[in-house]
Amino acid sequence: MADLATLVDLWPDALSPDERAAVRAAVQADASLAHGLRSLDAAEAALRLRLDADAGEDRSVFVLYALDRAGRADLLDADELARLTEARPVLDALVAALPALALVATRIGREAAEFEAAWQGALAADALPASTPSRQRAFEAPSDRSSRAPRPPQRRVARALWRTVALSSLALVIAVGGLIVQRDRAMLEAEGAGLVALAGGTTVRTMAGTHLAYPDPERTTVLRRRVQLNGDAFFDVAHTGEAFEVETPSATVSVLGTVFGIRSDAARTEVTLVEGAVDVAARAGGAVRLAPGQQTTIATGAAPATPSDVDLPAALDWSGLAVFRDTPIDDALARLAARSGTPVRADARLAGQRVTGTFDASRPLEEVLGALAVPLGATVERDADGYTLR
Amino acid sequence: MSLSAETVRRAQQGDARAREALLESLQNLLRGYFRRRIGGRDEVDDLVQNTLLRVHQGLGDLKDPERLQAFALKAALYEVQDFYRGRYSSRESLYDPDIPPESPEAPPDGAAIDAERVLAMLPERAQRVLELRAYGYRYEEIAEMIGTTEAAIKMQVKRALDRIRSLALVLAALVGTGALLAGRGIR
Repeated sequence: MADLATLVDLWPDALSPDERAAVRAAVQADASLAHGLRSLDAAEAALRLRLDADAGEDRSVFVLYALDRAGRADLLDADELARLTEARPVLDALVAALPALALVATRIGREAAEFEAAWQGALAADALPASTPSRQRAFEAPSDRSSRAPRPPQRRVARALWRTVALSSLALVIAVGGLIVQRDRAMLEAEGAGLVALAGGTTVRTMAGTHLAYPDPERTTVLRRRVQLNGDAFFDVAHTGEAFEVETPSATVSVLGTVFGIRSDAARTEVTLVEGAVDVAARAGGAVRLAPGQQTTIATGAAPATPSDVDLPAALDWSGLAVFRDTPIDDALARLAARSGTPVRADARLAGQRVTGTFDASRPLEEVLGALAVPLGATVERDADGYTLR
Repeated sequence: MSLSAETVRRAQQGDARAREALLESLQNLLRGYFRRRIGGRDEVDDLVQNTLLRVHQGLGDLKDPERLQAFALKAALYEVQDFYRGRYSSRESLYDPDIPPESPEAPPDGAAIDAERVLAMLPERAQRVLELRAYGYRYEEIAEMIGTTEAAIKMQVKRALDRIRSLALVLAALVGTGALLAGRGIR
Protein backbone atom coordinates (compact mmCIF):
# COMPACT_ATOMS: atom_id res chain seq x y z
CA MET A 1 0.00 0.00 0.00
CA ALA A 2 1.16 3.51 -0.72
CA ASP A 3 2.25 5.40 2.40
CA LEU A 4 -0.18 7.66 4.24
CA ALA A 5 1.37 10.94 3.12
CA THR A 6 0.85 10.02 -0.50
CA LEU A 7 -2.70 8.81 0.05
CA VAL A 8 -4.07 12.09 1.29
CA ASP A 9 -2.48 13.86 -1.63
CA LEU A 10 -4.51 11.66 -3.94
CA TRP A 11 -7.81 13.19 -2.86
CA PRO A 12 -6.94 16.84 -2.52
CA ASP A 13 -9.32 19.77 -2.64
CA ALA A 14 -8.35 20.59 -6.20
CA LEU A 15 -6.17 18.88 -8.75
CA SER A 16 -3.28 20.47 -10.59
CA PRO A 17 -2.03 18.83 -13.76
CA ASP A 18 0.95 17.45 -11.78
CA GLU A 19 -1.40 15.94 -9.23
CA ARG A 20 -3.51 14.31 -11.93
CA ALA A 21 -0.36 12.73 -13.33
CA ALA A 22 0.66 11.51 -9.88
CA VAL A 23 -2.79 9.98 -9.30
CA ARG A 24 -2.71 8.30 -12.69
CA ALA A 25 0.68 6.77 -11.95
CA ALA A 26 -0.29 5.53 -8.47
CA VAL A 27 -3.57 4.11 -9.71
CA GLN A 28 -1.95 2.17 -12.51
CA ALA A 29 0.22 0.43 -9.98
CA ASP A 30 -2.54 -0.42 -7.53
CA ALA A 31 -6.03 -1.61 -8.46
CA SER A 32 -7.40 -1.45 -4.95
CA LEU A 33 -6.34 2.18 -4.75
CA ALA A 34 -8.19 2.86 -7.99
CA HIS A 35 -11.26 1.19 -6.57
CA GLY A 36 -10.98 3.09 -3.30
CA LEU A 37 -10.68 6.50 -4.92
CA ARG A 38 -13.47 5.73 -7.33
CA SER A 39 -15.65 4.73 -4.40
CA LEU A 40 -14.98 7.96 -2.53
CA ASP A 41 -15.80 9.95 -5.62
CA ALA A 42 -19.00 8.01 -6.19
CA ALA A 43 -20.03 8.49 -2.58
CA GLU A 44 -19.43 12.21 -2.79
CA ALA A 45 -21.30 12.49 -6.08
CA ALA A 46 -24.29 10.63 -4.61
CA LEU A 47 -24.34 12.99 -1.64
CA ARG A 48 -24.22 15.95 -3.98
CA LEU A 49 -27.21 14.62 -5.88
CA ARG A 50 -29.16 14.26 -2.65
CA LEU A 51 -28.31 17.81 -1.64
CA ASP A 52 -29.38 19.16 -5.03
CA ALA A 53 -32.56 17.11 -5.27
CA ASP A 54 -33.90 17.63 -1.78
CA ALA A 55 -32.92 21.25 -1.34
CA GLY A 56 -34.46 21.74 -4.72
CA GLU A 57 -34.25 24.79 -6.95
CA ASP A 58 -34.68 27.10 -4.01
CA ARG A 59 -31.34 27.01 -2.23
CA SER A 60 -32.11 30.32 -0.61
CA VAL A 61 -34.70 28.79 1.68
CA PHE A 62 -31.92 26.83 3.41
CA VAL A 63 -30.26 30.14 4.26
CA LEU A 64 -33.53 31.35 5.77
CA TYR A 65 -33.78 28.08 7.70
CA ALA A 66 -30.26 28.57 9.03
CA LEU A 67 -30.95 32.16 10.06
CA ASP A 68 -34.05 31.02 11.91
CA ARG A 69 -32.09 28.27 13.68
CA ALA A 70 -29.55 30.88 14.72
CA GLY A 71 -32.34 32.88 16.34
CA ARG A 72 -32.35 35.51 13.60
CA ALA A 73 -35.88 35.19 12.30
CA ASP A 74 -35.99 38.99 12.69
CA LEU A 75 -33.97 39.20 9.48
CA LEU A 76 -36.77 37.57 7.48
CA ASP A 77 -39.69 39.46 5.97
CA ALA A 78 -43.25 38.14 5.90
CA ASP A 79 -42.91 36.38 2.53
CA GLU A 80 -39.70 34.69 3.58
CA LEU A 81 -41.22 33.51 6.85
CA ALA A 82 -44.11 32.01 4.91
CA ARG A 83 -41.75 30.23 2.52
CA LEU A 84 -39.74 28.92 5.44
CA THR A 85 -42.81 27.60 7.26
CA GLU A 86 -43.83 25.71 4.16
CA ALA A 87 -40.36 24.26 3.55
CA ARG A 88 -39.47 23.48 7.15
CA PRO A 89 -40.66 19.83 7.26
CA VAL A 90 -38.62 18.98 4.17
CA LEU A 91 -35.55 20.76 5.52
CA ASP A 92 -35.86 19.15 8.94
CA ALA A 93 -35.95 15.75 7.22
CA LEU A 94 -32.96 16.66 5.07
CA VAL A 95 -30.90 17.68 8.09
CA ALA A 96 -31.87 14.44 9.82
CA ALA A 97 -30.70 12.47 6.78
CA LEU A 98 -27.52 14.49 6.28
CA PRO A 99 -26.43 15.61 9.76
CA ALA A 100 -23.56 17.71 8.41
CA LEU A 101 -26.19 20.20 7.24
CA ALA A 102 -26.64 21.21 10.86
CA LEU A 103 -22.98 22.30 10.80
CA VAL A 104 -23.63 24.23 7.59
CA ALA A 105 -26.59 25.98 9.21
CA THR A 106 -24.42 26.96 12.17
CA ARG A 107 -21.78 28.33 9.83
CA ILE A 108 -24.39 30.40 8.00
CA GLY A 109 -25.46 31.85 11.35
CA ARG A 110 -21.84 32.89 11.96
CA GLU A 111 -21.60 34.37 8.48
CA ALA A 112 -24.64 36.52 9.25
CA ALA A 113 -23.07 37.79 12.48
CA GLU A 114 -19.84 38.65 10.64
CA PHE A 115 -21.78 40.55 8.01
CA GLU A 116 -23.45 42.65 10.68
CA ALA A 117 -20.07 43.36 12.29
CA ALA A 118 -18.70 44.45 8.91
CA TRP A 119 -21.75 46.70 8.43
CA GLN A 120 -21.13 48.38 11.79
CA GLY A 121 -17.52 48.93 10.76
CA ALA A 122 -18.62 50.55 7.52
CA LEU A 123 -20.99 52.85 9.40
CA ALA A 124 -18.13 53.86 11.69
CA ALA A 125 -15.92 54.62 8.69
CA ASP A 126 -18.67 56.77 7.18
CA ALA A 127 -18.99 58.68 10.40
CA LEU A 128 -15.42 59.98 10.30
CA PRO A 129 -15.53 63.73 9.65
CA ALA A 130 -15.01 64.49 5.97
CA SER A 131 -13.25 67.75 6.63
CA THR A 132 -10.10 66.42 8.37
CA PRO A 133 -7.14 67.31 6.17
CA SER A 134 -5.73 63.76 5.98
CA ARG A 135 -9.01 62.33 4.72
CA GLN A 136 -9.40 64.98 2.08
CA ARG A 137 -5.79 64.55 1.03
CA ALA A 138 -6.48 60.86 0.45
CA PHE A 139 -8.78 61.64 -2.41
CA GLU A 140 -6.70 64.13 -4.30
CA ALA A 141 -4.20 63.02 -6.91
CA PRO A 142 -0.99 65.07 -6.61
CA SER A 143 -1.32 66.77 -9.97
CA ASP A 144 -4.88 67.85 -9.29
CA ARG A 145 -4.25 69.67 -6.09
CA SER A 146 -4.80 73.03 -7.71
CA SER A 147 -7.86 72.03 -9.70
CA ARG A 148 -9.48 70.14 -6.82
CA ALA A 149 -10.81 66.89 -8.34
CA PRO A 150 -14.49 66.65 -7.39
CA ARG A 151 -14.62 62.89 -6.88
CA PRO A 152 -12.07 60.51 -5.38
CA PRO A 153 -10.55 57.94 -7.75
CA GLN A 154 -12.34 55.03 -6.06
CA ARG A 155 -15.75 56.53 -6.80
CA ARG A 156 -14.95 56.94 -10.46
CA VAL A 157 -13.91 53.32 -10.68
CA ALA A 158 -17.05 52.22 -8.85
CA ARG A 159 -19.15 54.27 -11.26
CA ALA A 160 -17.41 52.79 -14.29
CA LEU A 161 -17.82 49.29 -12.91
CA TRP A 162 -21.44 50.00 -12.11
CA ARG A 163 -22.19 51.27 -15.59
CA THR A 164 -20.82 48.03 -17.00
CA VAL A 165 -23.09 45.98 -14.77
CA ALA A 166 -26.12 48.14 -15.50
CA LEU A 167 -25.66 47.87 -19.26
CA SER A 168 -25.88 44.13 -19.20
CA SER A 169 -27.58 42.41 -16.33
CA LEU A 170 -25.43 39.35 -16.91
CA ALA A 171 -22.15 41.27 -17.03
CA LEU A 172 -19.58 40.37 -14.41
CA VAL A 173 -16.49 42.45 -13.84
CA ILE A 174 -13.73 39.92 -13.48
CA ALA A 175 -10.43 40.97 -12.04
CA VAL A 176 -8.24 37.95 -12.70
CA GLY A 177 -4.73 39.31 -12.96
CA GLY A 178 -5.94 42.84 -12.33
CA LEU A 179 -8.19 45.30 -14.06
CA ILE A 180 -6.38 48.60 -14.55
CA VAL A 181 -8.46 51.62 -15.27
CA GLN A 182 -6.95 55.02 -15.84
CA ARG A 183 -9.00 57.66 -14.12
CA ASP A 184 -6.81 60.69 -14.57
CA ARG A 185 -3.35 61.24 -15.89
CA ALA A 186 -1.66 60.96 -12.53
CA MET A 187 -3.27 58.01 -10.77
CA LEU A 188 -3.91 54.49 -12.01
CA GLU A 189 -6.19 51.95 -10.36
CA ALA A 190 -5.71 48.22 -10.07
CA GLU A 191 -8.35 45.70 -9.05
CA GLY A 192 -7.72 42.15 -8.01
CA ALA A 193 -4.64 39.98 -7.62
CA GLY A 194 -1.47 41.11 -9.35
CA LEU A 195 1.99 42.56 -9.08
CA VAL A 196 2.27 46.31 -9.55
CA ALA A 197 5.63 47.94 -10.26
CA LEU A 198 5.91 51.53 -9.19
CA ALA A 199 8.52 54.05 -10.28
CA GLY A 200 11.86 53.66 -8.52
CA GLY A 201 11.75 49.89 -8.06
CA THR A 202 8.97 49.55 -5.49
CA THR A 203 6.72 46.52 -6.00
CA VAL A 204 3.26 45.85 -4.58
CA ARG A 205 1.74 42.36 -4.63
CA THR A 206 -2.04 42.67 -4.34
CA MET A 207 -4.44 39.87 -3.37
CA ALA A 208 -7.76 39.06 -5.05
CA GLY A 209 -10.56 41.45 -4.16
CA THR A 210 -8.12 44.28 -3.46
CA HIS A 211 -8.27 47.80 -4.80
CA LEU A 212 -5.09 49.89 -5.23
CA ALA A 213 -4.72 53.44 -6.57
CA TYR A 214 -1.14 54.43 -7.41
CA PRO A 215 0.81 57.08 -9.33
CA ASP A 216 1.45 56.28 -12.98
CA PRO A 217 5.02 54.92 -13.10
CA GLU A 218 5.41 56.39 -16.59
CA ARG A 219 5.26 59.91 -15.27
CA THR A 220 8.69 61.34 -14.71
CA THR A 221 7.72 63.70 -11.93
CA VAL A 222 5.67 62.48 -9.01
CA LEU A 223 5.14 64.97 -6.25
CA ARG A 224 4.76 62.38 -3.56
CA ARG A 225 5.08 58.57 -3.37
CA ARG A 226 1.60 57.65 -2.21
CA VAL A 227 -0.87 54.84 -2.86
CA GLN A 228 -4.38 54.10 -1.62
CA LEU A 229 -5.23 50.58 -0.56
CA ASN A 230 -8.48 48.83 0.25
CA GLY A 231 -7.64 45.18 0.68
CA ASP A 232 -4.55 43.05 1.25
CA ALA A 233 -1.12 43.68 -0.27
CA PHE A 234 2.54 42.95 0.33
CA PHE A 235 4.94 45.84 -0.20
CA ASP A 236 8.65 45.92 -1.07
CA VAL A 237 9.49 49.61 -1.08
CA ALA A 238 12.69 50.86 -2.68
CA HIS A 239 14.73 53.23 -0.56
CA THR A 240 14.97 56.57 -2.35
CA GLY A 241 15.35 58.81 0.66
CA GLU A 242 11.79 60.00 0.17
CA ALA A 243 8.82 58.91 2.28
CA PHE A 244 6.35 56.38 0.80
CA GLU A 245 2.78 56.39 2.07
CA VAL A 246 -0.06 53.88 1.97
CA GLU A 247 -3.53 55.11 2.83
CA THR A 248 -6.28 52.72 3.85
CA PRO A 249 -9.79 53.48 5.10
CA SER A 250 -8.55 53.67 8.69
CA ALA A 251 -4.84 54.48 8.63
CA THR A 252 -1.88 56.06 6.88
CA VAL A 253 1.33 53.99 6.82
CA SER A 254 4.54 55.99 6.16
CA VAL A 255 7.74 54.20 5.28
CA LEU A 256 11.29 54.61 4.05
CA GLY A 257 12.55 51.65 1.98
CA THR A 258 11.04 48.68 3.69
CA VAL A 259 9.16 45.37 3.35
CA PHE A 260 5.73 44.95 4.95
CA GLY A 261 2.22 43.57 4.53
CA ILE A 262 -1.10 45.34 4.99
CA ARG A 263 -4.54 43.86 5.36
CA SER A 264 -7.37 46.36 5.28
CA ASP A 265 -11.10 46.70 4.91
CA ALA A 266 -13.67 49.26 5.97
CA ALA A 267 -13.48 48.20 9.61
CA ARG A 268 -9.77 47.93 10.31
CA THR A 269 -6.19 47.92 9.02
CA GLU A 270 -3.45 45.49 10.10
CA VAL A 271 0.19 46.28 9.34
CA THR A 272 3.00 43.71 9.69
CA LEU A 273 6.60 44.85 9.24
CA VAL A 274 9.32 42.54 7.92
CA GLU A 275 12.27 44.93 7.65
CA GLY A 276 12.90 48.66 7.68
CA ALA A 277 10.72 51.07 9.67
CA VAL A 278 7.15 52.23 9.35
CA ASP A 279 5.08 54.89 11.07
CA VAL A 280 1.39 54.06 11.25
CA ALA A 281 -1.03 56.93 11.86
CA ALA A 282 -4.74 56.35 12.44
CA ARG A 283 -7.23 58.56 10.63
CA ALA A 284 -8.91 59.08 13.97
CA GLY A 285 -5.67 60.24 15.58
CA GLY A 286 -2.68 58.58 17.25
CA ALA A 287 0.40 57.02 15.70
CA VAL A 288 2.87 54.22 16.41
CA ARG A 289 6.22 53.17 14.97
CA LEU A 290 6.78 49.52 14.10
CA ALA A 291 10.05 47.67 14.43
CA PRO A 292 10.81 44.66 12.18
CA GLY A 293 8.79 41.62 13.26
CA GLN A 294 6.03 43.73 14.77
CA GLN A 295 2.37 44.18 13.94
CA THR A 296 -0.31 46.73 14.79
CA THR A 297 -4.03 46.87 14.11
CA ILE A 298 -6.06 50.05 13.65
CA ALA A 299 -9.81 49.76 14.00
CA THR A 300 -11.71 52.48 12.16
CA GLY A 301 -12.28 55.36 14.53
CA ALA A 302 -9.60 54.23 16.97
CA ALA A 303 -5.91 54.82 17.60
CA PRO A 304 -3.38 52.16 16.55
CA ALA A 305 -2.89 49.22 18.92
CA THR A 306 0.47 49.01 20.72
CA PRO A 307 2.83 47.13 18.39
CA SER A 308 3.28 43.47 19.26
CA ASP A 309 5.89 40.96 18.17
CA VAL A 310 4.49 38.32 15.85
CA ASP A 311 5.65 35.10 14.23
CA LEU A 312 6.31 36.56 10.78
CA PRO A 313 5.75 33.44 8.67
CA ALA A 314 2.36 32.86 10.33
CA ALA A 315 1.34 36.52 10.33
CA LEU A 316 2.05 36.90 6.62
CA ASP A 317 0.77 33.53 5.46
CA TRP A 318 -2.17 35.30 3.76
CA SER A 319 0.15 36.93 1.23
CA GLY A 320 1.02 33.62 -0.41
CA LEU A 321 4.63 34.35 0.44
CA ALA A 322 6.75 32.46 2.94
CA VAL A 323 8.39 35.31 4.84
CA PHE A 324 11.29 34.29 7.04
CA ARG A 325 13.41 36.63 9.11
CA ASP A 326 16.03 34.97 11.22
CA THR A 327 13.70 31.99 11.41
CA PRO A 328 15.15 28.71 12.72
CA ILE A 329 15.53 26.27 9.83
CA ASP A 330 13.25 23.66 11.40
CA ASP A 331 10.42 26.19 11.80
CA ALA A 332 10.84 27.37 8.23
CA LEU A 333 10.79 23.86 6.82
CA ALA A 334 7.82 22.92 9.03
CA ARG A 335 5.87 25.83 7.59
CA LEU A 336 6.67 24.88 4.02
CA ALA A 337 5.81 21.25 4.76
CA ALA A 338 2.47 22.15 6.34
CA ARG A 339 1.58 24.32 3.39
CA SER A 340 2.39 21.71 0.78
CA GLY A 341 1.39 18.60 2.70
CA THR A 342 4.78 17.03 2.00
CA PRO A 343 7.30 16.30 4.79
CA VAL A 344 10.53 18.30 4.68
CA ARG A 345 13.51 17.67 6.94
CA ALA A 346 16.91 19.25 7.51
CA ASP A 347 20.06 17.22 7.92
CA ALA A 348 21.70 17.45 11.36
CA ARG A 349 24.55 19.38 9.74
CA LEU A 350 22.18 22.34 9.30
CA ALA A 351 20.94 22.36 12.91
CA GLY A 352 20.88 25.83 14.39
CA GLN A 353 20.88 27.56 11.00
CA ARG A 354 18.49 30.45 10.45
CA VAL A 355 16.70 31.52 7.33
CA THR A 356 16.01 35.05 6.13
CA GLY A 357 14.20 35.76 2.91
CA THR A 358 10.85 36.04 1.19
CA PHE A 359 9.81 33.09 -0.96
CA ASP A 360 6.85 32.70 -3.26
CA ALA A 361 5.06 29.81 -1.56
CA SER A 362 2.78 29.27 -4.54
CA ARG A 363 5.74 27.98 -6.57
CA PRO A 364 6.39 24.21 -6.52
CA LEU A 365 7.92 23.11 -3.24
CA GLU A 366 11.08 21.85 -4.87
CA GLU A 367 11.72 25.28 -6.36
CA VAL A 368 11.21 27.07 -3.06
CA LEU A 369 13.49 24.63 -1.25
CA GLY A 370 16.09 25.09 -3.95
CA ALA A 371 16.08 28.83 -3.41
CA LEU A 372 16.22 28.41 0.35
CA ALA A 373 19.11 25.94 0.12
CA VAL A 374 21.44 28.26 -1.79
CA PRO A 375 22.54 30.59 1.06
CA LEU A 376 22.85 27.55 3.34
CA GLY A 377 25.21 25.83 0.96
CA ALA A 378 22.83 22.87 1.02
CA THR A 379 21.31 20.58 -1.59
CA VAL A 380 17.72 19.37 -1.89
CA GLU A 381 17.11 15.62 -1.97
CA ARG A 382 13.83 13.94 -2.72
CA ASP A 383 12.78 10.50 -1.57
CA ALA A 384 9.55 8.55 -1.03
CA ASP A 385 9.07 10.32 2.28
CA GLY A 386 9.41 13.88 1.07
CA TYR A 387 12.37 16.22 0.93
CA THR A 388 15.60 16.57 2.87
CA LEU A 389 17.99 19.49 2.91
CA ARG A 390 21.58 18.35 3.38
CA MET B 1 -23.90 58.25 5.66
CA SER B 2 -24.09 56.25 2.47
CA LEU B 3 -25.62 53.15 4.06
CA SER B 4 -28.33 55.09 5.88
CA ALA B 5 -32.08 54.75 5.43
CA GLU B 6 -32.09 58.31 4.11
CA THR B 7 -29.68 57.43 1.31
CA VAL B 8 -31.77 54.38 0.49
CA ARG B 9 -34.94 56.48 0.29
CA ARG B 10 -33.29 58.99 -2.01
CA ALA B 11 -31.91 56.21 -4.18
CA GLN B 12 -35.34 54.60 -4.39
CA GLN B 13 -36.78 57.94 -5.45
CA GLY B 14 -34.39 58.12 -8.39
CA ASP B 15 -31.49 60.10 -6.97
CA ALA B 16 -28.60 58.70 -9.04
CA ARG B 17 -25.86 60.05 -6.78
CA ALA B 18 -27.48 58.55 -3.72
CA ARG B 19 -27.67 55.21 -5.49
CA GLU B 20 -24.01 55.43 -6.49
CA ALA B 21 -22.92 56.34 -2.99
CA LEU B 22 -24.94 53.44 -1.62
CA LEU B 23 -23.50 50.89 -4.04
CA GLU B 24 -19.97 52.18 -3.57
CA SER B 25 -20.18 51.81 0.21
CA LEU B 26 -21.66 48.37 -0.25
CA GLN B 27 -18.94 47.39 -2.69
CA ASN B 28 -16.20 48.23 -0.20
CA LEU B 29 -17.95 46.36 2.57
CA LEU B 30 -18.66 43.31 0.42
CA ARG B 31 -15.13 43.09 -0.90
CA GLY B 32 -13.68 42.80 2.58
CA TYR B 33 -16.47 40.49 3.74
CA PHE B 34 -16.12 37.97 0.91
CA ARG B 35 -12.34 38.04 1.21
CA ARG B 36 -12.66 37.05 4.86
CA ARG B 37 -15.21 34.35 4.02
CA ILE B 38 -13.68 32.54 1.08
CA GLY B 39 -10.09 33.75 1.10
CA GLY B 40 -8.23 35.82 -1.44
CA ARG B 41 -9.60 34.07 -4.50
CA ASP B 42 -10.55 35.40 -7.89
CA GLU B 43 -14.21 34.59 -7.32
CA VAL B 44 -14.39 37.35 -4.70
CA ASP B 45 -14.95 39.92 -7.43
CA ASP B 46 -17.76 37.83 -8.92
CA LEU B 47 -19.49 37.50 -5.57
CA VAL B 48 -19.23 41.25 -5.02
CA GLN B 49 -20.73 42.10 -8.40
CA ASN B 50 -23.53 39.54 -8.12
CA THR B 51 -24.51 40.75 -4.68
CA LEU B 52 -24.52 44.37 -5.88
CA LEU B 53 -26.73 43.27 -8.73
CA ARG B 54 -29.22 41.67 -6.32
CA VAL B 55 -29.31 44.84 -4.25
CA HIS B 56 -29.63 47.06 -7.31
CA GLN B 57 -32.50 44.97 -8.67
CA GLY B 58 -34.21 44.60 -5.33
CA LEU B 59 -33.89 48.19 -4.17
CA GLY B 60 -37.19 49.27 -5.69
CA ASP B 61 -39.09 46.49 -3.91
CA LEU B 62 -37.60 47.24 -0.52
CA LYS B 63 -40.61 48.53 1.39
CA ASP B 64 -38.76 49.68 4.45
CA PRO B 65 -35.47 51.53 3.77
CA GLU B 66 -34.29 50.58 7.27
CA ARG B 67 -34.21 46.99 6.08
CA LEU B 68 -31.34 47.47 3.64
CA GLN B 69 -28.88 45.77 5.96
CA ALA B 70 -31.06 42.65 6.28
CA PHE B 71 -31.60 42.60 2.53
CA ALA B 72 -27.91 42.97 1.70
CA LEU B 73 -27.00 40.40 4.35
CA LYS B 74 -29.25 37.76 2.84
CA ALA B 75 -28.05 38.59 -0.68
CA ALA B 76 -24.43 38.12 0.46
CA LEU B 77 -25.24 34.84 2.22
CA TYR B 78 -27.00 33.49 -0.89
CA GLU B 79 -23.92 34.27 -2.96
CA VAL B 80 -21.63 32.53 -0.47
CA GLN B 81 -23.83 29.42 -0.57
CA ASP B 82 -23.90 29.50 -4.36
CA PHE B 83 -20.13 29.70 -4.29
CA TYR B 84 -19.78 26.61 -2.13
CA ARG B 85 -22.41 24.68 -4.07
CA GLY B 86 -20.36 25.07 -7.22
CA ARG B 87 -22.05 27.83 -9.17
CA TYR B 88 -18.76 29.61 -9.74
CA SER B 89 -16.61 26.66 -10.63
CA SER B 90 -17.38 23.00 -11.09
CA ARG B 91 -15.88 20.53 -8.67
CA GLU B 92 -13.31 18.31 -10.31
CA SER B 93 -14.09 14.65 -9.97
CA LEU B 94 -11.03 12.47 -9.66
CA TYR B 95 -12.48 10.01 -12.10
CA ASP B 96 -13.16 12.01 -15.14
CA PRO B 97 -12.63 10.08 -18.37
CA ASP B 98 -8.94 10.75 -18.70
CA ILE B 99 -7.81 8.71 -15.73
CA PRO B 100 -9.11 5.14 -15.48
CA PRO B 101 -8.93 3.65 -19.01
CA GLU B 102 -5.13 3.49 -18.90
CA SER B 103 -5.20 1.17 -15.91
CA PRO B 104 -5.18 -2.49 -16.93
CA GLU B 105 -7.24 -3.23 -13.83
CA ALA B 106 -10.02 -0.84 -14.74
CA PRO B 107 -13.46 -2.43 -14.69
CA PRO B 108 -15.49 -2.81 -17.87
CA ASP B 109 -17.48 0.26 -18.86
CA GLY B 110 -20.82 0.59 -17.15
CA ALA B 111 -19.78 -1.09 -13.90
CA ALA B 112 -21.04 1.25 -11.19
CA ILE B 113 -19.88 1.64 -7.63
CA ASP B 114 -22.76 1.34 -5.20
CA ALA B 115 -22.33 4.67 -3.45
CA GLU B 116 -24.87 3.94 -0.73
CA ARG B 117 -23.01 0.78 0.26
CA VAL B 118 -19.72 2.67 0.33
CA LEU B 119 -21.21 5.28 2.67
CA ALA B 120 -22.73 2.61 4.89
CA MET B 121 -19.33 1.01 5.47
CA LEU B 122 -17.78 4.25 6.72
CA PRO B 123 -17.81 5.54 10.31
CA GLU B 124 -20.13 8.48 11.17
CA ARG B 125 -17.32 11.03 11.32
CA ALA B 126 -16.10 10.14 7.85
CA GLN B 127 -19.65 10.43 6.53
CA ARG B 128 -19.91 13.97 7.90
CA VAL B 129 -16.66 14.87 6.17
CA LEU B 130 -17.92 13.50 2.86
CA GLU B 131 -21.22 15.36 3.27
CA LEU B 132 -19.39 18.63 3.79
CA ARG B 133 -17.07 17.90 0.87
CA ALA B 134 -20.14 17.25 -1.28
CA TYR B 135 -21.55 20.59 -0.16
CA GLY B 136 -18.40 22.25 -1.46
CA TYR B 137 -16.24 23.01 1.57
CA ARG B 138 -12.49 22.54 1.62
CA TYR B 139 -10.66 20.48 4.25
CA GLU B 140 -9.59 23.63 6.08
CA GLU B 141 -13.20 24.83 6.33
CA ILE B 142 -14.51 21.39 7.29
CA ALA B 143 -11.99 21.28 10.13
CA GLU B 144 -13.22 24.64 11.37
CA MET B 145 -16.87 23.56 11.21
CA ILE B 146 -16.30 20.28 13.01
CA GLY B 147 -13.98 21.89 15.53
CA THR B 148 -10.80 20.01 14.81
CA THR B 149 -7.62 20.32 12.78
CA GLU B 150 -7.18 19.95 9.05
CA ALA B 151 -4.76 17.10 9.72
CA ALA B 152 -7.44 15.22 11.69
CA ILE B 153 -9.95 15.64 8.86
CA LYS B 154 -7.49 14.34 6.31
CA MET B 155 -6.83 11.40 8.62
CA GLN B 156 -10.56 10.61 8.50
CA VAL B 157 -10.39 10.55 4.72
CA LYS B 158 -7.28 8.38 4.72
CA ARG B 159 -8.92 5.90 7.07
CA ALA B 160 -12.05 5.82 4.95
CA LEU B 161 -9.98 5.14 1.86
CA ASP B 162 -8.02 2.43 3.67
CA ARG B 163 -11.21 0.83 4.94
CA ILE B 164 -12.73 0.67 1.47
CA ARG B 165 -9.53 -0.75 0.08
CA SER B 166 -9.12 -3.39 2.80
CA LEU B 167 -12.69 -4.58 2.38
CA ALA B 168 -12.21 -4.66 -1.37
CA LEU B 169 -9.04 -6.74 -1.05
CA VAL B 170 -10.64 -9.20 1.36
CA LEU B 171 -13.66 -9.66 -0.87
CA ALA B 172 -11.52 -9.91 -3.97
CA ALA B 173 -9.83 -12.89 -2.36
CA LEU B 174 -13.21 -14.44 -1.56
CA VAL B 175 -15.23 -13.79 -4.69
CA GLY B 176 -12.69 -13.00 -7.38
CA THR B 177 -11.45 -9.62 -8.57
CA GLY B 178 -13.61 -9.41 -11.66
CA ALA B 179 -16.85 -9.77 -9.77
CA LEU B 180 -15.73 -7.30 -7.13
CA LEU B 181 -14.80 -4.60 -9.59
CA ALA B 182 -18.10 -5.12 -11.34
CA GLY B 183 -19.74 -4.03 -8.10
CA ARG B 184 -21.37 -7.24 -7.12
CA GLY B 185 -19.00 -8.39 -4.41
CA ILE B 186 -20.06 -6.39 -1.38
CA ARG B 187 -22.94 -7.73 0.61
